[in-house]
Amino acid sequence: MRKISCVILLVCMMLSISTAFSACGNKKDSDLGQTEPGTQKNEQDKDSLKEQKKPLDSLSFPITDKPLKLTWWGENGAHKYHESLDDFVIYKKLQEITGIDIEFIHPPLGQGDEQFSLLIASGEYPDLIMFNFLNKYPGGIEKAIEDKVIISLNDLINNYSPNLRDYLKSNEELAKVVRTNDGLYYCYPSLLPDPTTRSYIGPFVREDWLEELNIEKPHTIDEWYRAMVKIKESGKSEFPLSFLYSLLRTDVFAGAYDVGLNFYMRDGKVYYGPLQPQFKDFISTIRKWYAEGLIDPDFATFDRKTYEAKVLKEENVLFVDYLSRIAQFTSGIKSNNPDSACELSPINYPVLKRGEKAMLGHFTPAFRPFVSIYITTANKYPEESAMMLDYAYSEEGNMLFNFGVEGQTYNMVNGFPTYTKDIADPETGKINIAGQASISGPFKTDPRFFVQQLILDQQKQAIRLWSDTDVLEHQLPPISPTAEDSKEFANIYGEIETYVSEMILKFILGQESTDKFDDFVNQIKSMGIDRVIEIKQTALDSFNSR
Amino acid sequence: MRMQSRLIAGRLKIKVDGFTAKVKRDLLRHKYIYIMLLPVVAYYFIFHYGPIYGAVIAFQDYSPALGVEGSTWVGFQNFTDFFHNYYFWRLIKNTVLLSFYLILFGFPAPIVLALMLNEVNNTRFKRTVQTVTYLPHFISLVVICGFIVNFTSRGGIINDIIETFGGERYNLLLKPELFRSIYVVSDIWQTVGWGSIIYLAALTNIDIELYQAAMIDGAGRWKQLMHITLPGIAPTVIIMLILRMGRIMTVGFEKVILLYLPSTYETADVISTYVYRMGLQKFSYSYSTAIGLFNSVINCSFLIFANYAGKKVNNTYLW
Repeated sequence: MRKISCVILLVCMMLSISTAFSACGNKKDSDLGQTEPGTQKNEQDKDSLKEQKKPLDSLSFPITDKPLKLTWWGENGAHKYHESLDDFVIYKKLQEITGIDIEFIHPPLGQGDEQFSLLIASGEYPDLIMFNFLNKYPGGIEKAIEDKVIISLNDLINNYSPNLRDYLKSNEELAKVVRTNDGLYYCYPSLLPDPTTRSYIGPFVREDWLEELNIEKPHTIDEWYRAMVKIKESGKSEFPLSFLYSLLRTDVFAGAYDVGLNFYMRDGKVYYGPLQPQFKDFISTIRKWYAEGLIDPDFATFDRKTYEAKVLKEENVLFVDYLSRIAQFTSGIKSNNPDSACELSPINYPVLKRGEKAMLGHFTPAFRPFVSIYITTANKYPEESAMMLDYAYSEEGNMLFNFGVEGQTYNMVNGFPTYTKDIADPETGKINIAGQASISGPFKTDPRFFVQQLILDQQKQAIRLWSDTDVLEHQLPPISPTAEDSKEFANIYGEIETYVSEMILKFILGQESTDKFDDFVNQIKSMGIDRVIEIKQTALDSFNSR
Repeated sequence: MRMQSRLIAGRLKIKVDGFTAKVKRDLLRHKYIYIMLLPVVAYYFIFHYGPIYGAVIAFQDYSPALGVEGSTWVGFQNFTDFFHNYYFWRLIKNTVLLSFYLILFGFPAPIVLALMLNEVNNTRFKRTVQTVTYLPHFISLVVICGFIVNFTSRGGIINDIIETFGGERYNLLLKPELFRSIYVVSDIWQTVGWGSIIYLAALTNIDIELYQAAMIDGAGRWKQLMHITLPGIAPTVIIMLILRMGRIMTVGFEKVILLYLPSTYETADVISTYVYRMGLQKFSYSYSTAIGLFNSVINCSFLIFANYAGKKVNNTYLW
């Protein structure tokens, strides 16, 4: 008995030691706000110029009295309104408040990727880069730090970015997403913390026509089918359903069958949609709809222009598209045909049985790496940069980046930041100039912005209906395999992806018989899907234990 | 006799002068020509020879931040990866077949057009035809492909014709078996006018006396065509063919990308589009460079082969 308890004690001790060790290891990297005093001191000794003795509790402005200029490289997503981000009120104000001059460098539109490669190859980096380093730097983010292109931000965030530090500390789920498996922070993230603002693609329908034909809004796949057949028979519309093929990827119909077109997870396990038996049912349904002429037969080839031209000519009844299109199509159809009683209203993601929830649906991740800011090794003022970038995560910064300047672009009405009439007018698009320039950037998107961007009640209804899925439990978090694994993944999955996208379309178009589904699955398996899933699983596991 | 002796004297003198003196004299004598040549040479060195150095990244695991010097060498890894690719043979087959059809149907088209135009006596009609056939050459490829997508769509003009003859409407671009035809036919439409210029120029060089002599001998138009016109332009045709053979593995990715779909990958996915998907969209620089290099090597061997064949058959060659 004593022996056993001894052993237990020993095991316990070993366990506690090892956890202590690993905790230490982690602490150094991932835990913000608790830097070990030792390491801190060493750094201080090395660099006596640093006045900072302990992590900042809050920021004071201006950050510097001396003239200080930083270069900021990145695409300007809102070029429609101003050629340079420098001209947007929020960035003007940011420079005014912080006292730091920012020089914006924008690559020509649509050439961001190529220009980024050239920039990296040139070795002459700007101070700040707004680009999808996470997914587009060959070898991944850790490689970018290792190659000395960008710097890891743990110390900077901890010591010089109190707002972001505190925010991440109180939002562990988000913090997990924006750091690496080893606990490295690498960017000032663009965040969409509110889940209700993150589902903005979904199905909607011409309600006026449904009423005219006495059809109820469809909920289930069967109801969709019956509704479409009835519409087609009535002669009102030759092809009731129309959408861009690329939007099938949002799992809008697959979700009903408890399957995705890509990778998804269930209870911590990774699955690949096309391998599942339900996938056959899903693909057969779309195939049937296509064969019976319920879907616009050009859906796989047309571009947005052709597709929208048909919509505006009132050729279709059901759609899958972006939230903004509900308003756009309504006004477009009405200006084309003033007599039209057009009313587009959203419906929930279809399911198999009433009362169920779709397993997947469109859902943007909370972290947008492509509009986040990365600090390069060329930056001579990392501390000042850290303080400047931290402003966006403060209360005032949040107001500035989302709503602009009080009294100028918005007013507080009953404690709710309300855009001025001029700004809120949907015709001018000025709402994009006021705050939220370039649609998004290194700050948190405020749901109060999102709501005001919506013009019609139907749109407000839409975000409620479309976010009513189980996607949160099934969508993979932004996981990052190790550099070696991601290379292997790219090699194997590159081939599989080509094969699967080819076959899915062939199944739908009837060029390949669905009897061949088993061969299709076997083919994917023989191409090495198991290894791909294994890589994803490993990455998911290490994400969960971040 | 006098000329010959001067030549001999000249040759002797050159030998006496040596190579550098010869070059110096030549440079001095033709200095303006050399000055005019300079920008062209510079262009080729800067834009065509300089970048060849970059091809070494095909043998590396290239990382842009480390540069060519800093990246690790992996030998032929990228090449073997490509050879073991599931789609290797399909890509080769699609590229070669598409190119082969382009040569088979696309190469003779401008020659035929030039010959036909040559037989036309009405200048105004001739010029109109020329202008109309040139036109597509000046339209941006994106717009051309927009036309093609429109024409072949279910509501497009080609389907209108099919329906008139009792056929059923179908989006032609969705059919893998039609992709090559659409590509080749539209390519001919696009390039036939522009391509015929060089043959029209070659036709004007044929001595008119030959035709007159042939007419006196009683040769009709067909006989003239077969025995005077065709042999007359044969050297141009062969040189053009040799140059064309050098591009047999090169199918421009732009047009394919604008026209293909996953459902037509089977016939439409070519090496250059694969490189595009891999290199530009997935950032595997080394891998796509390796494929590109492999492609160039094959092109080069075709060029050498065509040159050799031209030498044997017609004694027309590039080098």
